[in-house]
Amino acid sequence: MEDARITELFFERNEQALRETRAKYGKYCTGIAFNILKTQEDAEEVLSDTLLNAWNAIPPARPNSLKAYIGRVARNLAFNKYQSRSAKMRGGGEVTLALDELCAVFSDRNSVEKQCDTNRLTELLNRFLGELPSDTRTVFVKRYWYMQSVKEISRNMGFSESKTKMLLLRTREKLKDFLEQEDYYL
Amino acid sequence: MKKEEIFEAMGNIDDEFIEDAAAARPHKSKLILKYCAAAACFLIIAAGSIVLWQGFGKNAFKQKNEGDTENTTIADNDDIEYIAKEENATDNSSTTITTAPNGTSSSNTINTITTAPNGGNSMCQAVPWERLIAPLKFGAIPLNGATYYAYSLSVDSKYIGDFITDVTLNAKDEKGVTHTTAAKLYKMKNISSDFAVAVEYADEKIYYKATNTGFNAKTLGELINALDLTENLPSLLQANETVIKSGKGADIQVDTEYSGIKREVILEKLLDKSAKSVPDYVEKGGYSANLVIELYFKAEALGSDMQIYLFDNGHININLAYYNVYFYVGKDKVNDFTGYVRRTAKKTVTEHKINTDTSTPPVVNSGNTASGSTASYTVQYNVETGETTRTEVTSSSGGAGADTTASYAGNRQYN
Repeated sequence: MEDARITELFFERNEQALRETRAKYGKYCTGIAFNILKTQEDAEEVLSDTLLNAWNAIPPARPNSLKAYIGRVARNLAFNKYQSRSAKMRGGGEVTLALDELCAVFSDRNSVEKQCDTNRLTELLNRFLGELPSDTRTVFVKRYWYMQSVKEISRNMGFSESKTKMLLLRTREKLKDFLEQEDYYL
Repeated sequence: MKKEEIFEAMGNIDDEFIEDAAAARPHKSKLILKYCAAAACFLIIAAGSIVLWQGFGKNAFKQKNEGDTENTTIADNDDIEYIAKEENATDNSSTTITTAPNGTSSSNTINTITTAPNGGNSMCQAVPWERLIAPLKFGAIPLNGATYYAYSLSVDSKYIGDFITDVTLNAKDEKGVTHTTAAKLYKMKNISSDFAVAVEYADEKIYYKATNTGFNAKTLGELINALDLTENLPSLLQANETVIKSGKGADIQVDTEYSGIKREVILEKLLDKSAKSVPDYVEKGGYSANLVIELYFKAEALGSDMQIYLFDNGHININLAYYNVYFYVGKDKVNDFTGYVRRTAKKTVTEHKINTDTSTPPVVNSGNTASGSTASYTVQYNVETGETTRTEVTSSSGGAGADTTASYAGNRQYN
């Protein structure tokens, strides 16, 4: 079923919307959640919560891309759960590694409790990503949006792991330069 | 900048980037190259084998070359099989799911979600339909115009109440073939059937909990009533709190376990029946709030464990297996309750020294010698007895870790 029709079902308060979303994007959501949480039970739980969340939010929300919307909710819920869980078990995990890598882009002066303008950062990230070659952008998004491991990305993309690592390293360096050029820290 | 903020900023990038990355596949040229390389290897091996076969006879071949041939062929086949699965996949989601051909990651665990297969996803072909338990095959259950979802949570028969109805359930397997089963639905003794029911599938003499995903408690009071929490909460509960304190050279993680928190106190001080639900909490960025304390308990009568998370923005998150909902009780309630627990509950405190150098993994009890400085320690003390135990784990570069343990009395305060 087309995404537009599924969205209409949400607006009609027809629970077929949940079944269709689950059928079409269930594995997509559990995949995202699994990358972050690494347990099947939690990933299933996130899927369930994602559907409930979508049911409660649509309407009034009318997502341009249902897939990206659902994926974003799943990612946020999984991260929320990850934080709750990691309060007890700190360290480890692909999320920690990926976020540590990305945090390193931001200079020390920004690591002090400086208020971050996330909207502006997103805007800059969109511009930066838009200027990247397709493959590079895909690798970057797989790593820092989908939280995939370097190994997974390499297999998905048909790259060697060293190539993927190098690509990510150079892209992070470019991002750092880009943010500085845009006076993001000022 | 906080990690949460970076996570949030990255999370809000344009939809097209998210979709493109999910849909990305290896280049055809690379695949063709790999196929060609694999095919060439295969031909060389096959040709070599024929020559050996003809030249030396079956026995000679076995003795001299069997090991080498097998090793080469198996490695290549793994690669080819993996690439082929990816290439044939019709579901974009396969790019977001761990796909390791040798079972080194998540493939076996994620595969069980096949109640509504899209087909083509290599991850979902590994666990055949017949090996799945009934709730993973026929998870969606219609009842009174709502859809309940059964998962793998079994319910003890002593909690099964009145029979509700018979249902017939359909689902498709990974090949698209439709299967049908009969099931009986029952009330759960302690829970409103608007929230959850028990399902007994024809082929499995087990009761599974099925939750109504559309159950929408507008206030905390509605949820308390539906779950009869005034009765179903255990009389004494436990809680966890984790605080990270900055220290010289390394941070200190302080984990505190509280016990003996009375049900009446939770109901009176925290669970405000008039508190409204916040269905769009996550979309509004609630995930960036800090967790203050976590209450948890086993709730057999409710069909699963339950957690109540308290956040510093005044929200609480109630998590009952596959049901997850947020309520706003206010910062005052969260602070008052948290203060009460810290002052009055029995507590056990554990300290860990944690490595803040992001270039190396945390070293608590790890014995990892890569960073050159892997000393860590754990302090445990019981407030009731005042006894403290400090365990140090020290390892030098290239050497094995040595544990030393010392006990001493102490009266440290954590507020």
